[in-house]
Amino acid sequence: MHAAAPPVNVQSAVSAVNLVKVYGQGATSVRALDNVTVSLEAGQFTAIMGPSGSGKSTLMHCLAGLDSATSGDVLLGGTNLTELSDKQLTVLRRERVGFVFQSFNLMPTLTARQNILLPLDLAGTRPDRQWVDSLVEVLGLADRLAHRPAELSGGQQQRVAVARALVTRPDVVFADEPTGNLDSRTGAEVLDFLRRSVREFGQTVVMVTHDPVAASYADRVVLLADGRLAGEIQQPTPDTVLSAMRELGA
Amino acid sequence: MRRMMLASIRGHAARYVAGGLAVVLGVAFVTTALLVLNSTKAAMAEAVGAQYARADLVVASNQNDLTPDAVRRIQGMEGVAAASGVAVTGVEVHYPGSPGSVWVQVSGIPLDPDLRWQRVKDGRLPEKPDEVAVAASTAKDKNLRLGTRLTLTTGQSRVHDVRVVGIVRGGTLAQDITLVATDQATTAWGDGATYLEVLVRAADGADLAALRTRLSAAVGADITVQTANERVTELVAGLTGGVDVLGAFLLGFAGIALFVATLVVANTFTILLAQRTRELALLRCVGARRGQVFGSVLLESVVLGVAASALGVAAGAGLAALAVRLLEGQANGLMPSSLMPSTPTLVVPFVAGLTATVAAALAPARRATRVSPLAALRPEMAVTVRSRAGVVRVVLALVLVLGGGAILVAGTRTSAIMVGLAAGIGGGLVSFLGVLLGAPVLVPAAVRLIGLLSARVGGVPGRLAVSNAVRNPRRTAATAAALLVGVTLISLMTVGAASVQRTLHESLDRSYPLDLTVSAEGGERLADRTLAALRGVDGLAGTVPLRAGQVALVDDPSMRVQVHGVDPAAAAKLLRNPGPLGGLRDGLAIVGPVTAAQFGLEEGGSWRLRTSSGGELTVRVRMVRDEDTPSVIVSAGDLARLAPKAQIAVLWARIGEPADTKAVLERVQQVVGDLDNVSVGGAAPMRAMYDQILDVLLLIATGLLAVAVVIALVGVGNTLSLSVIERTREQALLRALGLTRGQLRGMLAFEALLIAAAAVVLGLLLGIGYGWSGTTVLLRTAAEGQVALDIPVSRLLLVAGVALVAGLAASVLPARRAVRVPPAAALGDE
Ligand SMILES: Nc1ncnc2c1ncn2[C@@H]1O[C@H](COP(=O)(O)OP(=O)(O)OP(=O)(O)O)[C@@H](O)[C@H]1O
Ligand SMILES: [Mg+2]
Repeated sequence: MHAAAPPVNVQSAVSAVNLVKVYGQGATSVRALDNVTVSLEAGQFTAIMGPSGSGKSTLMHCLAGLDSATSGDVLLGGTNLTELSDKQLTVLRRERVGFVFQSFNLMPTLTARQNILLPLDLAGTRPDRQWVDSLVEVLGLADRLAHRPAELSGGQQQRVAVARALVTRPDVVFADEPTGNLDSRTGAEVLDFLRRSVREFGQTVVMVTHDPVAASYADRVVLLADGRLAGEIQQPTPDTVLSAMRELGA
Repeated sequence: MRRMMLASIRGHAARYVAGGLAVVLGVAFVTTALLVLNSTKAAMAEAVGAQYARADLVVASNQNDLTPDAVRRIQGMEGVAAASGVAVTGVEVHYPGSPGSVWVQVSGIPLDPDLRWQRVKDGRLPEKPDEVAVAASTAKDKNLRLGTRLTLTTGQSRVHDVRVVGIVRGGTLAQDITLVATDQATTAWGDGATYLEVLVRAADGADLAALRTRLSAAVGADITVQTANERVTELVAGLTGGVDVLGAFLLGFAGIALFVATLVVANTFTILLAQRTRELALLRCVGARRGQVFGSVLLESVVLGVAASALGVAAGAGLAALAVRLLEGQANGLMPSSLMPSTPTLVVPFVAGLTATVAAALAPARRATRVSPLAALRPEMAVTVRSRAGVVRVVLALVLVLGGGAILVAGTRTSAIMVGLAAGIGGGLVSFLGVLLGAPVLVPAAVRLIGLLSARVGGVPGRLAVSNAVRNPRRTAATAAALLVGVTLISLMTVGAASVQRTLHESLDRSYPLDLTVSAEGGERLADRTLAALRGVDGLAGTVPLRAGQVALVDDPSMRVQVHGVDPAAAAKLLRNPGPLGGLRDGLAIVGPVTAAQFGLEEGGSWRLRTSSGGELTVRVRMVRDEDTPSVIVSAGDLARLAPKAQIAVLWARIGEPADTKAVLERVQQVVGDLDNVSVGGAAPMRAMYDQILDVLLLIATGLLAVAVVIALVGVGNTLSLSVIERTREQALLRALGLTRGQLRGMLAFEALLIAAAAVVLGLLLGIGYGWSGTTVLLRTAAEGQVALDIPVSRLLLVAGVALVAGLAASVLPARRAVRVPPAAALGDE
């Protein structure tokens, strides 16, 4: 399924080197990322945190090949994204990256099952039946597969999105506030599953969040402020995260 | 509220472009039609009126029997300042360089210089009997110059050589006048010195009414006396009958274009309002009344209607000016030389465009008022409602389709043509209305079916395209409806024309079995050179010679009759039906009715003819009426015994298929052109004429309908680009998940293609149905029930191909926009 298996000796699944992202021009330009260098390790669950407007989403978009950086490099499993064409980036996203967004994750015209298989369909590859079945079962979606998104609850929709993100066994799964629209219990289910996918399947997950409790599911928290790296926390708990955030003034 | 609405129009102006463009095109069409018609009528009145500009009263006789004496009597009457007769006569003209001669009308120059109206562009008016002036358009057509010599043959077969001394300016001749000559010459060429009209100028201060009464009393009962104005009005009314028919025709097509534009605008509003559901709901949340929402939408449509209609009128005026420039000088100056706008020609299209736009917005506006304030609070996903066609709509559509269809079928069965026409048009309209009403069910079904058939080529983008195309059945139906109208009408015209053509051909075959006959007059022989040249003419499928000889009668040796002989087998292959040869074989004579009467012959009777060797040959008589065949025909074998020295006098020919009949005829004319004892006959010219008329009609109708189709395609592109805007997040999501730009383009192209294909398939089916029933209704009586229906496959495929390619092209711009959206947009949480 992979275009190329990541080399064993490369520890980081994805890393940014001197990454700069400027929106707009002249007086109204915004420096959303200001010389960020960070490395996110393979097989780890990393959370990115920071005050609103600190550049979390921007960083994630650049790491995932959804947006191009103004300068600097992004390395994803040994591939330098800044050198890829739009078409190569598209194929890379399709095969090596998975996404979970805060909302609007699913195609309204497709059923849950079709949504889960969409990346494979787009690539024209056959699904690995066992893998799909185990995902569906673990996520508790077995009896919801024929439904369309409008007929699913917010939590179910998010779980479908997680299944879709994992179905290609990507190098990295990126999640931008995946629990932002969910109540705490449903959110906990989704987070728990993301953590299990890291522990049990060796998946790499990068998640942007505001919520210290959500961040505590991660192995490591990277803090951003004003587009710059502002520290990190290993093995976070809600309390350590909360106090770090307070220091940043969020 | 109003400020908000204007801001909304400004904010969404780009989204109104396509809807507005549709209205502009429709209104421009109506304006052009009205302006050209109006200018043509005005030009006609001017051209016709020129003749009467200097007269106060006109004495006219339909019998062309006003004598010079009568003119002198009128001149002598009290209150008459001047009076002159207007002579009009017909002559045959041979133009140098063109084959044959044509029958044209000559008008005389009034004797009294004060009443002359003809004005020359070049040269001068004729002064001597051997001088003529020609109409400018004829001079151009036939390449005539000052000094060109023409040969005229009068009704009494007298031949005159005349010289062109002037070219008459367009607009100073009535439509049917080609030549102008002196009064003396014109009356001399006619069959007596008589006038059609006498122009009368009253003396200064004379009482016109009294003079008119006195003139009426003086000239007699059958002759009318009119004021110059009355005369012009009457003549123009007679002439413009044709223009009015043309006008109805043009305006009918303009109406269709405007109707299609209305569909496009309705579609635009429906989509725009659907996109603004949350905006409208928010308005309702903050306290806007339903009426205010309705009013704001309607006001938007008024602004759009005013702007688009004004543009349309301006564009139409420009087009009309161009058309007038192109038509100038055609048809003897009857075509306008300048645009003559009148208030109605500008106001009517404007009002029509505005009304159509506002009417189109009514239903969407009403739907907008039903948006509940809660919609503003619902998550985005719920906004993509899947509207289902109501049961009532489906039932009503079915009733209309079945009812209209039944009326239509009944119309094709009746032999009363007026009833049939009414039933045909009524039934057709009602059933088509039913189809449009049922489109939200029919079109998605057709899309699904076509999608199923083509699923293999489409892949995932194809599947997505199908589900996109059917997710909002109303919108898809509305998009397809515009194209459906166009395709239905064009295929209706195509099938109708092909069927009329075939019916006509078959009926021509029945009545005119012989395409071409070239015969030497009086049974003389056709020269070998001529025969060889004729046989070699390109485009002839075959020729059969007929020999002619003089044969003596046994019963009355003093009488001789001209007998033609032909090989029955060869002739049977050549004729389009065996009628005129009536089973010719040895021992049978085909005799025309005149000859039969002359010799007292009866059907089935025997006729004894003297052979060359002095013997006797008895033939059975079969009477056949056919104008193109000689009056006595026997088999070639019999003729050899009756007149062994008989020479080839006639050549029959059949034109091959497919052939350019006109070109073949011209080539045949070229061969026989200089021989004056040879004449060409047969039904081919008639066939060619009918074909040409049909082709021209079809071309014009297709051209006019093309405007409607272009508008419909603007609509397809419009729907697609609006739905691209609506589905920005969806597309960005797909892009984030790995849909390439090419696949996204393919998806949109496939969606456009599906919608176009649904419209094409339905349109072709309907067009064929309507074309057939329409032809049947029209021709049933004339063709004595023998209507031949035809499906011109290649032309229909062309129609389908053009519509599909155009549908595909309509997806290009929306797709360009769609691929520019960065995939990161899907992540935004608004
Ligand atoms: N498309 C854009 N055009 C211009 N400026 C942008 C754009 N996207 C983001 N920005 C700016 O870049 C900065 C970083 O934005 P970003 O969305 O990355 O923040 P964030 O950390 O994700 O915030 P939040 O927690 O609110 O989602 C902000 O100042 C934002 O205004
Ligand atoms: Mg963000």
